[in-house]
Amino acid sequence: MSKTFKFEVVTPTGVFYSDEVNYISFEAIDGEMGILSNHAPLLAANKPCTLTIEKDKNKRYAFISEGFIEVTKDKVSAVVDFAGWSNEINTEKVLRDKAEAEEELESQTQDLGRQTELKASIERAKAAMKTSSIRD
Amino acid sequence: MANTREIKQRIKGVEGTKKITKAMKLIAASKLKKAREMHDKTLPFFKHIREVMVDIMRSTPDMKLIYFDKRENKENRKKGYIVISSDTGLNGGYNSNVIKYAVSNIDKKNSVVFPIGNVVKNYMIKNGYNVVTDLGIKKYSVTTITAADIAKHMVKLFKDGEIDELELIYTDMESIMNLEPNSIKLLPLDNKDFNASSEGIKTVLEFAPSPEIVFERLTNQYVKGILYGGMVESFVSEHFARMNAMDSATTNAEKVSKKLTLDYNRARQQAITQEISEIIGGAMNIN
Repeated sequence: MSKTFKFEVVTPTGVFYSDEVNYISFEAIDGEMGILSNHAPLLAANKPCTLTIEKDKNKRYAFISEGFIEVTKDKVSAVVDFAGWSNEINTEKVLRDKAEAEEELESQTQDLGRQTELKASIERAKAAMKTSSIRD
Repeated sequence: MANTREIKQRIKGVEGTKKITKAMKLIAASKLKKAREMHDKTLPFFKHIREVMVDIMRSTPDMKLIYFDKRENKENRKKGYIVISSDTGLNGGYNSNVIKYAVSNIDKKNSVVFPIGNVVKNYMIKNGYNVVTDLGIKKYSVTTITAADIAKHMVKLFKDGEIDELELIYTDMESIMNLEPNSIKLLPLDNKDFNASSEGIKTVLEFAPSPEIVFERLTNQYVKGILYGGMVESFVSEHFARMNAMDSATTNAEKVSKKLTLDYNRARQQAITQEISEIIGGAMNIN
């Protein structure tokens, strides 16, 4: 069995997950990334994506929004705005929000900042939908 | 001496007020508890962010970022203030204390006020401050989502040069007895804030994709963290002030009602005495 390391997911609404795990993977801004124990200290900004947590050969999947992953000597933490297990995502709401954002984006031609924001929320919705289709 | 019916009506009125103030006190108390719990839950998140920022500053101290630029030589520097008050009154000196503090700290010239809460908004507009009500949010509530939206909006204003400095004025609950208006600087970031624990071992960090991008993301989170802290602190203070005010109002109502009951009994007694003496007088006249 491979070595474990302490991993936690921290969100503004509390600590979402905290346990000894074997492996995690997520999408950093410049590509997918996996972390095993004894990884070099690292700070990676992540995209909204599926977070895979592997513990004793069991895999769990969660959706995480933008944030960053920090690897230190004694633990790994994901500090994100939102986290939710793949089977707990409210797909109806996600789809509704996505549709709203897409609709607004079509009519929004002036405000570049708002455009970027809308695009980001569409990306987030897509990632959440992708995560929700994975079952542990 | 007022007549008995009048006094009775007043007692009824006072009792009614007492019921209301008592209910308001209970509501304030429960809201306060909830807000406290919410705040405690978010603490690890914001503590973490701060730690990471310190780590970054330590491993890459020479990073040049717009968020550290004090813009001291800029002409017409504009200072932004976010001032938090409540939407409604009936909370003792809570609002007037914040306003007093804000007025003594804000220079009317070269400043922009971002009010949160109707009371401070109305006051600032009436007194000729440069007020901007657009905080980048639809509706204000004490949540991290609102804090995030405001933070994003403020960081953008700062980046665009609309404001060159940003301060948050809120009410700090120092202890149960002491609600103190306070201010914290949000932007620009101060190097000193992040070098406090520089005696630790310098950790070498890898960044993906670059320290600048990671740090930029953190800045938003950091501002959001402080802002949210101030929002909760103000919310707790507001409800604590309201709880106290309503508590003393209830006690007062009790006192008034007691005194009125006494008056009522006296008036009633007097009416009876008068009636008896009238009857006796009448009876004597017949004899």
